[in-house]
Amino acid sequence: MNSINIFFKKLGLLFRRENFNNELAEEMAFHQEQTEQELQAEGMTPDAARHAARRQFGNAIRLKEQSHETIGFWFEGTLQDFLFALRQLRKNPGFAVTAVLTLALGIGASVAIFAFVDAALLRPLPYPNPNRLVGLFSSIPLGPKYNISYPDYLDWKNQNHVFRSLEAYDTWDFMLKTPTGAQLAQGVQVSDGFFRTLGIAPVLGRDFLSGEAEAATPHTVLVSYAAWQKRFGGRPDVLGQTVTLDGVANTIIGVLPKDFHFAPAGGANFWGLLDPSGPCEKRRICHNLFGIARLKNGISVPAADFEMKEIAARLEKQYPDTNRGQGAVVMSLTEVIVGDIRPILLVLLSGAGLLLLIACVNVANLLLTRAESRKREIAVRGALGASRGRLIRQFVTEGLLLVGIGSGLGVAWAYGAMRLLLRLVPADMLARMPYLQGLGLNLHGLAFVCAISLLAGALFALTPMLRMSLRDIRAGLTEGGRNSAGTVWRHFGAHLVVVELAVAVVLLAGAGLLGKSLYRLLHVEVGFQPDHLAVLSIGAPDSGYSGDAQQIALEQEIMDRIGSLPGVKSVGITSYLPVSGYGPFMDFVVKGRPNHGEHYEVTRRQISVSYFTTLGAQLLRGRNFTESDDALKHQVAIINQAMARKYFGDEDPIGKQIAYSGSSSQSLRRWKSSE
Amino acid sequence: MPKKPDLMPGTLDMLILKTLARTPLHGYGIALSIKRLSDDVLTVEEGSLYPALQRLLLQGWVKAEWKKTETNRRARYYTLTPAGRKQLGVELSQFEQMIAAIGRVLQDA
Repeated sequence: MNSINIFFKKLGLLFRRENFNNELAEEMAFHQEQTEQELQAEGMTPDAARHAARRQFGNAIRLKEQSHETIGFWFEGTLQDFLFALRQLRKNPGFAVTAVLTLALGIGASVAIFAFVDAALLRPLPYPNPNRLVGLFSSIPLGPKYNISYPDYLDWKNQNHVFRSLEAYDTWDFMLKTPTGAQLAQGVQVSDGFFRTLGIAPVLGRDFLSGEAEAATPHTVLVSYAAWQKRFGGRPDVLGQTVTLDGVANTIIGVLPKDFHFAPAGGANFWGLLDPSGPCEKRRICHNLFGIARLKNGISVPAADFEMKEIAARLEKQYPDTNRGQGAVVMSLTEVIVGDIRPILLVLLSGAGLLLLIACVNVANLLLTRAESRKREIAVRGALGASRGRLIRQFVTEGLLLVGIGSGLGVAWAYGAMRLLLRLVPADMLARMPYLQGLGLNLHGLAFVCAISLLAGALFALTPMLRMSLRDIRAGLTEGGRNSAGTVWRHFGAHLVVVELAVAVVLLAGAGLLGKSLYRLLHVEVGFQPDHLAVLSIGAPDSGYSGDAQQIALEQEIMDRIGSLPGVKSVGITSYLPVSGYGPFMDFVVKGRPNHGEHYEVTRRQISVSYFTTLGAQLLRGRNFTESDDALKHQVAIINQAMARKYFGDEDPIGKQIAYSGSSSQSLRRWKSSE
Repeated sequence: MPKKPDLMPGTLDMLILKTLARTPLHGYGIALSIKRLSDDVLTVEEGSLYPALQRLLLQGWVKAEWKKTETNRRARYYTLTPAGRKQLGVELSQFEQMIAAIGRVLQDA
């Protein structure tokens, strides 16, 4: 109750401050006059009496200040300091602009990079308990992160004791029938418990039912929120509608949540069920799936990894023909999704942090220099009765003001930098980083800004404060300033410069190394001329292009039409792009060589005759394909140098015959060696 | 001139309230009264009365009004309010408790 009264009294006094000042001055003057008269009556000279009265009364200016502080609001002094600090900055535009821009640069860079770190590393998975989710892969002699076959997936699912659920998915490019013709669209095929494992429920309609894929029901499909909005106008009657995917009718049964994304799926629009009776799914040799699973409570990722490796070893014994050399790999889903980008972001964040450090040290140095030149001002204010606390508050205000303006500009520039950085990421890479969609200044980002601003503000408040020890305040009056303390602080400034140089060298060296890596990456010898190559992905629905003859005719037509475009020198076709790392891998045996269970594994591309010419690749030995090769009794193949070295050693691979195992045709091929 | 003891912190408000409990006074009068009644032992830095008076006004323990002095000068007279009288009681009893406690400690030693 009383505090409310006090508040209103203060408020009242705020509006009649001048009156208050006059009355206070009047009664103080009255007091001094009375003392003076009394002293004169005791026999003092008027002059001596006036001096004595003043001494007895005390520092009138300070007393008035104290009275003000008593009846004023706490922020009045702060406001005063703030306005004074603003005036100080305006009086030194060179200093102000340099300091503010330096800070803005440092803070802006840090905030922009932090936003990426936050989006990618701190909250990449929009699912409940994301740290209990893992990704599963098959490890084969070629590497540790390969697909799983459907029969292996079923065995893993049924034999493990570490997962609450284990599901599989496969990316799925298909032809979507639309009123304006067929469109190539992206989707994912999943096992029925996929969304329950992630912990995601559709916003509209229903999830896949357990066992739905096996039942002889019509095909069902879920659509992404974006696809619902774009293709179906966000209407609720989307449920039950039929879409034709790859020539097969699918009923839409649900719409996924707006903020749902699954990074490995990229911008998938349709989510269908894996077909257990598909041509690949029936064969243990055909690896087309990735696994995800939710760990049981109390089971760690390494424990799950251990059990899955045991199961894989068991399957290897059980199915030596298909599973030889195949293990299992379990890693956290976070690792699967952001494992590649983490080191890049951490390097960038460290770089931005160092930049911020340099900026802060720079500004601290500027403040030190300025404190040196303000010594006299401070000394005079101290002598006039400004308390040490009040002087310190002034410095804190000035530091915070600098940081405040710097942060404001920095955040604006960070916002721009984020947009710019996002545009620098290629579109197809961005599609696989859906967690960057929410990039922006969120609460995390603002908390980060506040934290670094407070730290920087404390640093800037402290720097001149240390400089202004009480002894200095007194020494300052004598304008000498060449006392021992001055030398110490000049040394401190020199130390700051050393720190700054050291940090700058680290930063420059790091940037230089990164630049060199990039240069090397751009100049890696890939065996062909990557400039002036354009890529076009083409899909054709099975209906109408199911036979070999139809597909060959289509390919020929495409090559002819593209080849006749102005500016096109040559056209080639491949089943998978070069250096993309994708492609089916297969086992093979060398004819006429005794096989003791060795496991030869290679990836394979199917190409057109013109492929190598178009790439600008050179054959080392042997001959290129010709149009007449199709008419040969056996198939022919071209191998790369790595395969020649690994599997043929000193032998001449040309003319050797190999057979793919696991395929019924066992066709023979002749080999040539290319790069 | 021997140095006079500093006023114990926190006692100035109590002294002012006590002084005003006898009769309304202006600032100079309060200072004079404290000095006389304490036989010149307690001399406050006289000016420090004024920030203290602002504090008491704000708390509503004293009231102020401008009046003419005997010499026909304008001066601000301070009067104790009922709330101030209550506050004086509180401060006095606290002070007595403290003095008694200090006294006991000193006697034992």
